[in-house]
Amino acid sequence: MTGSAEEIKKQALADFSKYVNPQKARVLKNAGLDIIEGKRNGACVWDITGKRYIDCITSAGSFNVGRRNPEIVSALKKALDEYDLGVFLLCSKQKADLAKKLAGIAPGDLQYVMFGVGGGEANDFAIKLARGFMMKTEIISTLKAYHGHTGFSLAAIGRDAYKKPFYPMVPGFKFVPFNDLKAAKGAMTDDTAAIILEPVQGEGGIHPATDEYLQGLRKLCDEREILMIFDEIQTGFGRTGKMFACEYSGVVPDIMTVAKSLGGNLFPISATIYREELNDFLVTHPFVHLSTFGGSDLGCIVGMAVIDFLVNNRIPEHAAAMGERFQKGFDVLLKKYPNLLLEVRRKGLMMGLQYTNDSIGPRMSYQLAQNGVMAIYTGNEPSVMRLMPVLVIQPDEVDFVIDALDKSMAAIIQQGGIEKY
Amino acid sequence: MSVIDDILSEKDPEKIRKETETNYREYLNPFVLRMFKNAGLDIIEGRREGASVWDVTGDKYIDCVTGAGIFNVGRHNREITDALKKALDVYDMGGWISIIRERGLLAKKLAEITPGNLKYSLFCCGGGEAVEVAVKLARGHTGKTEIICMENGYHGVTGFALPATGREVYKKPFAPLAPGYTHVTFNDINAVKAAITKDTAAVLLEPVQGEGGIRPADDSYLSGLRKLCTDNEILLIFDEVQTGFGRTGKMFCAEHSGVVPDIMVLAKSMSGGLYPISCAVFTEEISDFLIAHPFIIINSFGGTSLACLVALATIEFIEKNNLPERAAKMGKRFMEGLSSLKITYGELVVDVRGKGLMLGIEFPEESIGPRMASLLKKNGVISIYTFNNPRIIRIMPSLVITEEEVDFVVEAFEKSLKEIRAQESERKSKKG
Repeated sequence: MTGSAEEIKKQALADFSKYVNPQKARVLKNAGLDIIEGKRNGACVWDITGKRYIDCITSAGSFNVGRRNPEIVSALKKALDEYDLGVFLLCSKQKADLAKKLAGIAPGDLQYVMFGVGGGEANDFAIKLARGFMMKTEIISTLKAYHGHTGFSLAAIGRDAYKKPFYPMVPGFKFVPFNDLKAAKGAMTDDTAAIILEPVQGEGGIHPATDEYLQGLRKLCDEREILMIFDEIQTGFGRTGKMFACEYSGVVPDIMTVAKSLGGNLFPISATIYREELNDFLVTHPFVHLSTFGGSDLGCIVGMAVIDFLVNNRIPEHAAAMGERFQKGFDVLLKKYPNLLLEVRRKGLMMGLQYTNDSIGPRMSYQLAQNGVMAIYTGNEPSVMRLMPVLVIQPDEVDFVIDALDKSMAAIIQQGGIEKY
Repeated sequence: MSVIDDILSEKDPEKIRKETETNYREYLNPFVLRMFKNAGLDIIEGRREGASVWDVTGDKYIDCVTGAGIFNVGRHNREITDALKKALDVYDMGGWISIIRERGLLAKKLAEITPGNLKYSLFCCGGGEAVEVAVKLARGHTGKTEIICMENGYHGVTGFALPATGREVYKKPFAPLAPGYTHVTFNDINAVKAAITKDTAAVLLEPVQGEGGIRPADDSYLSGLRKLCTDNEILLIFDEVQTGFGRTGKMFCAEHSGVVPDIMVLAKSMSGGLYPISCAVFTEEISDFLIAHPFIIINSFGGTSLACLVALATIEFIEKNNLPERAAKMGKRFMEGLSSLKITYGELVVDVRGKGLMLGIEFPEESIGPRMASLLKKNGVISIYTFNNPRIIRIMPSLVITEEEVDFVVEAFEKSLKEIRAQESERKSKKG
């Protein structure tokens, strides 16, 4: 694997096109994102040719602790001196330790944990648990929601494009508009097992749920005996300025799913955390849900190191402060580019720039890449650019991103062709 | 001191056991713990090496469970561990949207070692997820919906994989499941023929049913399926999650029959026992669908930089050490030992079967499986019954197992069978 960086890059692009997906490679190239990641550190990633970018994609919030966080890397290395994945069928001390730690930081009386590898898997289990425990079938989800690509989660995604080629889906899913309590109420029936939602819709375009909406839902769910599932996969572990986004409203769900940043950007792990009462179902069906790689010994060690890092360094608070700094910059841009930038929606460092039309997202991705920032539009809403940098981002890096946004918007204005919204 | 130092420095086995048991009861699943205890399988894994694992108390066992085939390269393989450590000096997961060089390199390697014209790879984390991708590709590419799968098949527990699993207990509490799955008898070509309709997208099966009780498909059955699928424009999907990477004495089990599927699903041992990774490998023809829909299947943790490097190191280790050949040889040695036990303990051993180091022993009744598991543990072997069929004990040690270790396991089986025989005769004499 020798050769100049340029040669390696060329070969890597060729291999990717030939054995992974040529169209994916083309789309990324057009967005200026045909980056081959070399060095990574903190908020930054370097293309193997040496160009530095501030990573505002972070796999949709998988890198809260920073790229290649030295503390987590060293924890994983130490763990590698002793452990492997472990056998999922046996008792594991590491699994037990992380479960306890998660129960400790999760809101309210969320206590029991089922581990998985990815977020979709965690949501699949949450939905299965709701059906199994309630002995009811209907799941209410929200329009534009994103919950993952495994079967039950995919059925809960509020966008047909992801689903249509794979019909028929798992039946029993209903969709209601987000942040609309009346609609949720209207959809509830005697066969409703659960409502699933993200406290801040991520792929849907960074839409935070209002506190009143979540509190209203909690009340409705209690009255109608319906379980409430929060998908905190993108919002969890400090992203929104609290350890979990639901803390803003004070609402405690019956089931919460977490993934992404629990793996510290080093090791895949996810978890479904639920109330003690729900464990009745798993006591009668202890091996009904299995995951070979879920909650592996190494994954659990990483998870613990991540939580310690977040708690010891008060990372949620830092995220809140950096979010405020970003906001000051956005306020200036909103005034400066009203034909481009319509609105900014934000909770902590989960930030969405609402452009005036769909075409601006991809063009801004390209411009930002030229100006040293990696950012893309959201999956379900291409007029929204998502900015989700690592939470350990420093003030000068925030300013760098704001400056890159300013330069990129100026370039787009100069190119012209911005239709009025 | 960091949390990791705290954890790694705790060496008192009693303290570790107590704490783990409390945490399982309070935060994981109290019932699972009780079951482990009753089955004599309440082992808390400490040191791991080669074919062996040590309980935190220091008791050594030969691991014949290996997470149903994750540890083909051995427990805590030194070379692959070192590879991952080196990788950690430079890499992290990498952004899922970035073009990951390591992903391209691994995909290229897989295209090279998988049979026939299998070429493109889509990476995920777990086996079930990769099965889901296979089902989606089949539906997306053919524009048809029905998936024919096998009774007693096991393909995972997530939404599109679960309906393919051929056992009701896994599915019933979660109904209604995704529709469009038909189940037929395994190893019965006529059953598949009868199930085919105009809307059939694919046939999905394991070349050796694992959880279903270690049942190898006949070569003639697989060639028949290939022809049937080709004639009817139906895709053939092999789930090689348990059978792949040398387990059955060939790199992939499909090679025994020479049948090349259109999609092959890989996971488990691809991880080197260290890092979650899985994938669906498919033909160029099928890749059309993903070229038209490049971002329709997304996975944040699938095929990370680190995972791909570990998988590359794993494949290198398997090739360099000729593990498929070794599996064939050790499998033969096992088969000889177990077959002689079948003769000696004819009333207790109904059948001994398998391929390479994917072996199963069938007992005449369901109670014997769990009792054997408990006795085997006493005799230094971890081995458990298959999920879909408790009458069968599975033997799937790591492929680096030595001749002495094979003999040790066979001897442990003999001791355990002897004890069961004694228990049975005592029971009979009490009755009499």
